Amino acid sequence: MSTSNLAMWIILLPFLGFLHNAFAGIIWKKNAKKMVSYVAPGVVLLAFGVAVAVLMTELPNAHDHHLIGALIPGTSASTPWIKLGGMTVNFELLVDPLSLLMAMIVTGVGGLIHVYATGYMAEDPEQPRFFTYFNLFITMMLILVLGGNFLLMFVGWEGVGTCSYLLISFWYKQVENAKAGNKAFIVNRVGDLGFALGMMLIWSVFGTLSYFQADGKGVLQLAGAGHAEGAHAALQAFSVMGTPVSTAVLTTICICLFIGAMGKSAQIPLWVWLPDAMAGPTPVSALIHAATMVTSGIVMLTRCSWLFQQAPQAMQLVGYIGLATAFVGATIGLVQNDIKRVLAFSTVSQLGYMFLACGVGNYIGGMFHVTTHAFFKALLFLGSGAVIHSMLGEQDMRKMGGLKKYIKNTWLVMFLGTYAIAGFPLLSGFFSKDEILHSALSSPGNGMFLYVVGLMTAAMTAFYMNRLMHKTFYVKQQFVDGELPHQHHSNFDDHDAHGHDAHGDHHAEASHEEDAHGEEEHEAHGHAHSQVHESPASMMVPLYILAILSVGFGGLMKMTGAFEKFLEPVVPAMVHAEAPISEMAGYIISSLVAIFGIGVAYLVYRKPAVAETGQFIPAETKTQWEKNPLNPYTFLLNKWWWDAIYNGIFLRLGGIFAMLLWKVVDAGIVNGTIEGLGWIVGGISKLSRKLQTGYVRNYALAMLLGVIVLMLGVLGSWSIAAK
Amino acid sequence: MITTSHFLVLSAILFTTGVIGVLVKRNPIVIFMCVELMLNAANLSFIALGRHFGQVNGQMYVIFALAVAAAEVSVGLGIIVAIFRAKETINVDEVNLLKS
Repeated sequence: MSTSNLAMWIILLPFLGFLHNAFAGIIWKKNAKKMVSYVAPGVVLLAFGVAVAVLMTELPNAHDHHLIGALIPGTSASTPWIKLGGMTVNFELLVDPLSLLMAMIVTGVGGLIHVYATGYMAEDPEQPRFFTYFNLFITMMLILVLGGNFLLMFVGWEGVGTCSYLLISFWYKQVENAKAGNKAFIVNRVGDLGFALGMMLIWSVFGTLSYFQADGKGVLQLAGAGHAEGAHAALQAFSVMGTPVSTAVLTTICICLFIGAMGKSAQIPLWVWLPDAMAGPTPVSALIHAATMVTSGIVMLTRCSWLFQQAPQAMQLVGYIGLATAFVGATIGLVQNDIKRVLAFSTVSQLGYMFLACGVGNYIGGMFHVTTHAFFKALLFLGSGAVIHSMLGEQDMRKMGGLKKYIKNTWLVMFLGTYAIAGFPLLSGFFSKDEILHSALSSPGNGMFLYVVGLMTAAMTAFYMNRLMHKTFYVKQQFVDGELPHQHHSNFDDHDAHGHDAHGDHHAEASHEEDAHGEEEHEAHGHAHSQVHESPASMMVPLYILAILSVGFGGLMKMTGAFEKFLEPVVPAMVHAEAPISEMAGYIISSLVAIFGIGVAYLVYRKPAVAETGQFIPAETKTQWEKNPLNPYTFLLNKWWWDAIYNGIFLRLGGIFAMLLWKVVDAGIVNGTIEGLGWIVGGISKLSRKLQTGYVRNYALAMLLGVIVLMLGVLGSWSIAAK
Repeated sequence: MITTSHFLVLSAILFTTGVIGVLVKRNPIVIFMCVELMLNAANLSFIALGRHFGQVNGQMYVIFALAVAAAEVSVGLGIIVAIFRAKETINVDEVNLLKS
């Protein structure tokens, strides 16, 4: 078995950075912030360098396309970590094309976002705490993708969840941020239960948790061996340690693992936490809730692809859940007003695409979309962060408009990101999305249905992303320059930030009229002292790099075929049916759909009346509609009432159930039993207390009686003995 | 003829008198006297039985008992004095401190 000596440093470097940042205040005193802003991005970019070095030097020499490495310097890969009875779990790393690809995305895109965050968080007094969590997140994410067994993946899985929680509620003094953090954490627990159950099942079926083992009995090796016997024969003949494993057991394992993936990757029905997670600082949204952590569900599925390949029903479930999420996410994205929320629903929707790809067996396509999505979604989030930054913290798109003339560079990168995600021909998103749609079409079964819904989602994506661009950059300016309220979010800020989410509707309507008055005044002054400003270089340079990748990466990989060749050895090949249309026809249809979505947005928002107010539907009509809960607009604005339903089921009914448990079971039965026992003992003591008179003579009498009884006893026994 | 039985019966009568006195009297001095009566009843039976069996042990134990009784009385009287100082009474029914 080939081993890797370098891979551990990919994880250890961010970990050292985490330690440094955590204690920076003690080490550097007043210079802490400055040092942290060098070290935090530095270690991550260095880790990227190490990942590239592993790719260049060690992986080509790997036997069977994978390397096993130790996690701690000076130990060997087979150093036992947990030894419990017959169970041994090693502290091992797995380096193969999949884990290395993810490691490079995490450290590469993550490094860029770190650089960006040094600019974004520069004014925050708690910046070292931010980067402490950020580096810890990178560490955990790398353990997740590089860990050599399911338990290490689970460690990373929980670690990133914790960091996500800490970072969503980073500005914890606003209670809604803290609540959003809780929501993310709790919803993820549901998924984690699925993962844990799946892991236990794997342990009981396979007798190990390692992906690869020297004796060839690793989970993936066994699953792969079953696969090699041919798709149908494999189902019958698939056996582990001599006993045949039924398809039902494998399906259960896969569904359990998929439930874990649902939680982490925000799929229906566990997706409700992701939109709320936007409460965190924007770099957090970009890094954790767009580019890396939320894709770990897809990574896990791809890692277990050999298992899933044995369980067609589980695959089908994955595909349909993915499709439903893609569709629902896109419809909700159509009507959101918060710039980050649009992106959040777009993320949910794109993650759905990736699961669709996994569901139809096109794991490479799924990973391809993970990669391109990491580029353009990080770009869009960071760009929106730059917009928010330049708007002094404003997130409501209805109060933006006309920003193009102020922040030209930000506009340019956002424009490229938007076209990339919309699937404009020849940009990255076009290739990766088309790859998924085409494979959905050629999958056996309901290929056409998957394809058509996927196309509808693509059209909606193109529309809502361009709606975002129009509302932010093109329509008439909706604010008064020079009168922007400062809303820089931080823990040490007196301004409330009510206007920044969808609940602030009335607030927004009220300020609307003021804007109209101020408009002429603004024209007179010109913008010599404009408040709206371009972001610093530390924020813009990562955006340029990501923009280049968003534009070119997809096409480059598609032309050279490098991506497919790279991942081919680690995932099973897709089972193709004959596609009803050629690949070229697919390209043309995808292009037309994307251009259709972009065109509709253009036509709608370029109408003079709409361009004036920035709103396609007049505000009064919206207020009217919102009163009717069954109105489609209200329905979408409130996320298909998903949150309300969950509130009803889990908070109300759950609350009633908890009340029942508390009042009846706990206070009634449990407490009643304990207190009843105490009451009985108390009663008996009350009676027996009367024996204690306190008079010496009563005690003396008792003694006498005792003596008499003893004497009678002794005499009696003598007389019996005498007989 | 006075036999050993007579001594033992007398001892029993004296002992019972002592017990009754301990149980019914309220003045600790009298109770003490009754306790002494019980001790001496026991002493009497010791001596009687010692003579009956022609052994010296009986008389020896009585000497011990007398010495211990003297010590015990001195301690007991000391306690009574202490109680009187504290409570201005020596009536045992009023000194029922064992009851809260």
